[in-house]
Amino acid sequence: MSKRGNIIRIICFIFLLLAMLIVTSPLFFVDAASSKTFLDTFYAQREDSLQVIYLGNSGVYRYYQAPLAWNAYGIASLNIATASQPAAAIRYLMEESLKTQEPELFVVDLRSFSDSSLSDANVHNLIDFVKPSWTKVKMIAACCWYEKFWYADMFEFFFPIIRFHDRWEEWTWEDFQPLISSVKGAYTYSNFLNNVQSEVTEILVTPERAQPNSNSLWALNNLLDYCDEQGLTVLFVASPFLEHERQKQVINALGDVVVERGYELINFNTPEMLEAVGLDVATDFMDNTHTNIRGSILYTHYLAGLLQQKYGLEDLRGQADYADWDAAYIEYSDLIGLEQLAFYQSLIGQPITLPLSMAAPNHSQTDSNPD
Amino acid sequence: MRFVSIEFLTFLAGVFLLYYQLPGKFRWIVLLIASYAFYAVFDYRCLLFILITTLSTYYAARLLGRENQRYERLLADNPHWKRLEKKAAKAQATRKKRRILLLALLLNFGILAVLKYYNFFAANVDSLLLQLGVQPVLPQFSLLLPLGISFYTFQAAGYVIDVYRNKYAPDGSLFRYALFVSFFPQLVQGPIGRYDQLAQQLYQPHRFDFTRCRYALQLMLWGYFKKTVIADRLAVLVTTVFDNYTSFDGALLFLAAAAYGVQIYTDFSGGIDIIRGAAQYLGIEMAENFRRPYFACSISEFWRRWHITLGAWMKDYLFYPLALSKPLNKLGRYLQKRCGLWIGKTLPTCLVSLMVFLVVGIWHGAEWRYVIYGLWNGGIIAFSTLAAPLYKQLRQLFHIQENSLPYRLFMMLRTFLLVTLGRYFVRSSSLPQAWAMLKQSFTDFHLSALGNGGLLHLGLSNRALLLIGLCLLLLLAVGILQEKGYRLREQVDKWPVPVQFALELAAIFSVLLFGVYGPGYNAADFIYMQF
Repeated sequence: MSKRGNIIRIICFIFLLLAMLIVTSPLFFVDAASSKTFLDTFYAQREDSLQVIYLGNSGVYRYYQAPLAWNAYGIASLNIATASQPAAAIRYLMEESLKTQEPELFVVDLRSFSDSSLSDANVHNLIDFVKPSWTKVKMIAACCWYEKFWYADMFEFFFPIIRFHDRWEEWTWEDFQPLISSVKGAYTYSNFLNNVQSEVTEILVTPERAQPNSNSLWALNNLLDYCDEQGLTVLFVASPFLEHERQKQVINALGDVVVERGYELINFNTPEMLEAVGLDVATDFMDNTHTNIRGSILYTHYLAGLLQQKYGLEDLRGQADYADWDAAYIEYSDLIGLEQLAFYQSLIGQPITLPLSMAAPNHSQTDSNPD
Repeated sequence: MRFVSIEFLTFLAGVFLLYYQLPGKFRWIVLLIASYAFYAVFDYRCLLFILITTLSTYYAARLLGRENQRYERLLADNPHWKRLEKKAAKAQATRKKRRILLLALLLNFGILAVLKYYNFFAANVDSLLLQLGVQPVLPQFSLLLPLGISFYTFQAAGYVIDVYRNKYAPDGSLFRYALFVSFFPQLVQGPIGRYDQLAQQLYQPHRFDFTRCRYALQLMLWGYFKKTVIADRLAVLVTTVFDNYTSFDGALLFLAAAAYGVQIYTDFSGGIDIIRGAAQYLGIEMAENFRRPYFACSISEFWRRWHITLGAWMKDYLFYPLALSKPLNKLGRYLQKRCGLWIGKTLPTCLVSLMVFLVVGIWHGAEWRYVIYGLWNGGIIAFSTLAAPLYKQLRQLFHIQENSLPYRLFMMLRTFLLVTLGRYFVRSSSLPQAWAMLKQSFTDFHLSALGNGGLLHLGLSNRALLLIGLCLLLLLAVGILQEKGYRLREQVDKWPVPVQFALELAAIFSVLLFGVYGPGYNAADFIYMQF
């Protein structure tokens, strides 16, 4: 064969090899902490059907339940949240979501940016379930740079089969199926639904600031640059948690950066917001960093109400295209149990108090009223 | 830097790229730098030892070469010399050369002996002293064992001995010679190369050849398949049984020993395939080290197919010198007078075989179980040699055709069984364990243990066992084809390109999917690396 023929042969082979690795890799993923479910559920949504996309870590999916927001306000919102979601990945998740959705609003939890260094498992938890694309390549590069992963580890993110190949011994039929949540990604962990309560009795509140590490600042500014570039409406939040003083101080500092860049911020770790949501430390937290179902109901009710009031989101209930959302609510209401369902229904219709910084409805970052 | 790692593959890719990008005269320098870098990454502390071996054997060979030339010049300058004068000159030259050779060999084998065998020696001496009621006198040390020291020491020693024998002139370049000693693919586990077969290939630049490089990558892939899919998976079964042998039936112990035989074969030969493939990519053909050893019909033949280069080294540098030595010749003549010509010729040879295999056993490790292993193999060879006439008579009596398939299959099975019995000593953690396992294999043997779900308690899932079964069938099929002279790679090359692609992609996918590698897998270390 001629030199040209050999070169063509090599290129074809490499192409086929890469295609084979990319296509087969999903067969090996481990759905730790329901990450695959969250991502598959997002990809299964009808195009341009979502009004709100909420990004972050467990500070999102253990707090905000989409079916409850739907039933109370008719908001089609979805969490794209994974356990210990890498901060560096959020900007690219936003980019990924914009390929199939045109949400009116993004909500981003700042807690992801205050996490200390993550393990490669946390990064796998997200990246493995993102569909192959140039966005995914950028996401991997950003996460590896951010977390200072060694070259061999980077290879595993591109070709997860290298990491998870021995799962072939455990394969079941489910490994070949997408895992789509029938409750729109709402959290169904048993301890959460059973309303387990934390032993911590006080919530730590601090107005102090602590310097975030340079990587966190880089990731946040990278995200803000992208939001500026795309002209996106983004609300930054920090869901409430009980302890970890330094983390709260870092979130306060990150919040300053967000506000300086002209974006809206709600830090639920302040006395004002805790009171507005109505959270009770004694009953509403499962552990010192997450709410239980009761706390989640309160948080969802408040945040969904705020989003509709502040951003004028259309009530989509009754529309034929959104029948699956009704079904999701019915299923989830069965899961949360009668007591919590009654509690949730008692909140419906009750007005919410907007934070002082959000006195008037606002649809873009240029209209923000700083504190 | 393990062979089974992204880092090694990246390193290799870098070497390949650099090698073919640079002008021809610099290419051997790339290999030299890469070899030392490879060694330094493995363990920079051991660089000193390989440098000592390189320098000492290089200069020893230069001195030997000078003596050879001086002797030849002497003869050329004195054509009138009679036989006695020539003999005297030769004796003088030989005495001088022998001193140089002995020094070089003592230094290098001394280093090997101290690093690898001192603690064994000290432990045994102290144990003996204790039994005699004397306090132990020899301390034990935590000694560094340089990577591949057995391999490069033997290789360098062979070079010096060849120069001593005036087989070829010594290398005139220290750096080029350093490449011969340290060539990175062979550092980990051989093969033990010969200077006259390997050196020129290392130094001369090679043109990139697409087909050759493709064959090389295929060979490496086959090596990775054997190592990661078969060897490292069988290691789980073997370890489960050997680490807890009292809990298993004799039949399962035997199965584990047999599995170890397959494990060590696929581990070692897989590693060699990776090494030879890497070298072949660079245009360098390294010596074959395995030739389907389990197709051997005798232990002698087994050792001509297993670790071929070690066997060849032993034959050329130990067996023949011993067999042709004066004491053995004297013994032979003595036995000939007393017991006849056949015994006079055969018994000394058997004795030498025993001695050589004792060394082979010790080469494997500094423990009594390796000594027994060596003597087991040497003993069988010696016995077979002595009993050869009896076997011939029995075959004639029973009208057995030596080349008939049933007889050959019987001999292969018998050889495999004998080899497997020897494996008990290599794999067990101690000599007492080896004896205990052997005894248990015979006294507590129940075939039914292989059924009744017994196989599922050996650390492997039923899927993994099925995979191993399929892989062994594949290995057998490939072995049979190769034994019949079928050149697989060349034959596959004639198939349509899409079919070749499918085969190659399936092979890569199999290694990636079924290979035992990744975080926490220590089995990525090759068994023979420790030697």
